[in-house]
Amino acid sequence: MKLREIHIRGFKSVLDQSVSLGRVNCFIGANGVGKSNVLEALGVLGAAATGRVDDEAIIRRGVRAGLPRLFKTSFAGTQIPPHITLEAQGEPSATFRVSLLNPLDKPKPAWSFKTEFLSSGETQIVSRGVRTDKDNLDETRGLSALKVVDLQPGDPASLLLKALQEYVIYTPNTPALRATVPDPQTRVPVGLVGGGLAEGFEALKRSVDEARIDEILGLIDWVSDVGVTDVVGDLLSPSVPRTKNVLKFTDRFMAASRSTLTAADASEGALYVLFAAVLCLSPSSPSIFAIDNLDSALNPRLVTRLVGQLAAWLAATNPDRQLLFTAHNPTVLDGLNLDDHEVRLFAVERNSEGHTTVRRITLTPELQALNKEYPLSRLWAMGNLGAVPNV
Amino acid sequence: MSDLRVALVAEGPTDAIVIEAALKALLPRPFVLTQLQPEPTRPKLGTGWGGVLRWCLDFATRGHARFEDDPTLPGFDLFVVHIDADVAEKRYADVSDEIADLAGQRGWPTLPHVIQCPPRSGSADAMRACLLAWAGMQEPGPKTVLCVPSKAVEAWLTAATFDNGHALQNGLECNLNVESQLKALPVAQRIKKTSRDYRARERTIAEAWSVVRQRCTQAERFSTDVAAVAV
Repeated sequence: MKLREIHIRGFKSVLDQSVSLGRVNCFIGANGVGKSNVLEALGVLGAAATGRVDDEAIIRRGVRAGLPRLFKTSFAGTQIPPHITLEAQGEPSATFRVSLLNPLDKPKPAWSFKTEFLSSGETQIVSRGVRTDKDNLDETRGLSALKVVDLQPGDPASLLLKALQEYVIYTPNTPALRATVPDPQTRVPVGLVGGGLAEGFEALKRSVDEARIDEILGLIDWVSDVGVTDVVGDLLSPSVPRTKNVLKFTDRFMAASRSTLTAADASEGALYVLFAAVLCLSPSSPSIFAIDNLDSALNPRLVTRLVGQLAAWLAATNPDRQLLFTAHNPTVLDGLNLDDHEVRLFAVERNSEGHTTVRRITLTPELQALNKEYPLSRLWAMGNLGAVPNV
Repeated sequence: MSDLRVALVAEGPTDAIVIEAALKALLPRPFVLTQLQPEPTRPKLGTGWGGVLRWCLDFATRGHARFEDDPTLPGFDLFVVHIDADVAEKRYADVSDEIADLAGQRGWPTLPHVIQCPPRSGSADAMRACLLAWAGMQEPGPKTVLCVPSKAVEAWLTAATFDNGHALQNGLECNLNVESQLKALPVAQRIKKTSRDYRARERTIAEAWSVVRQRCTQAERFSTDVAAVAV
């Protein structure tokens, strides 16, 4: 199952937008235009797919908790629907759509399902509308999550709901990657802010061949090997908090007797590379997930190389796995093979009314020819592709 | 229907705010505005009128007849290139000695080119000729509008903000000092040349655009030119 289309209506700064997804989906844009809102809309839909939309469910997916007055679109001079409508369409054909309601004044802990629709191909599985007799229904409970147990495991609607239920947004931060602070949302293979990277990488090493590990470590040019240990001995100051297992890096430039260091001392870039690799390649990763600010702490050339690997890494373990990510470093664009229709670049911008718009950037034949000699990063930095702040 | 995509080459962020407000009044549907700038190099980072010149020069170097034909500028519905008419009073050497040399080599119109005002269109027409020469164009393409407020975009801000009896409205399009005079107004009326002050008046400018057109000949010309672009 691949998620092919999402439709967001009335969520935060997104008034009404559709996004057609591929395997690798890169969202670029100025700070504050609503890139993360697009990722979060899918997180809210994922919570709806499990049957309940409340703070606990959305925080578990990496969505920032917020009151209805923050979640519902609010623009001066624009008529705003009272509810949030979110829709996902999958391939093979399946559709899941909800309208969620929560009063601005005196909001309730859980959002109500005003409407809910689930279909598999031409077959309608759930259709709950405003006229549905609600006497026997708990409006805060989604029906699709219940109905799906009656479906065959391979049914497209079942697969779509499962993909949405798995969806989470990762926002890695350095202290969690270094394992010096706990991750508030632990997960397998890694937590939402990067906790448990040592365990995730160890599991990855067991599940992929040596060539793949060489490929990953090839992106960290100062390293000759990365392992995992629970014995740190004199590698780590006793005053540094640590988890049971830690990553152990071998620096190829250092004297053999003193060439190892842990994640607490390793370069941030190495940790972010391992984090991305673990998520893309691990069998236990979600089939669709997002990374907010994938390019954090990465050198421009490294980020190009890393992004260039993503499509192959995602497909290596699960041909249906999809990644959405945001980035600010222009050289991200140079790693995207936009000739591959499964690799997609989106410019996220605010229009003259302040609404978030999402526009897929495709290479025209002329631009494609030009791109052979002219990096896209340069065009973006100049503003020619849009998605830049007007400062 | 998707939003329009507007490319704007402007001297600076406050100019862009006024022009964006004007476009809100002029364009038939919402738009996404993208400011285009030359790649930042030291010591000049690519803003000011020198930045506009350098952007045009970069375009000319790519060898296309019109912005619309340049594959590095994909998907724009409208190109707006702004320069204030008071640049006619400047010298190429104010940008750099290299630009001054280039002006001679490429036969650009001479600067300074001081023209009596009124007529209010004199300096504006001179700067239109400069923009075209810098970009190596014979005439603007079908989606291109040259935006040349006289003497500066602050004239449009003033026309929108103050009533007809205000002292600044006299000889507005020939006044070379509107910017400093706005800054010197009593506190309640004062407008500093900051993005914050200009943004606070964005809606006023858009709502009063019909008045601005009446008071400023170059605003009227800009409006007519934008209307002529089929978007």
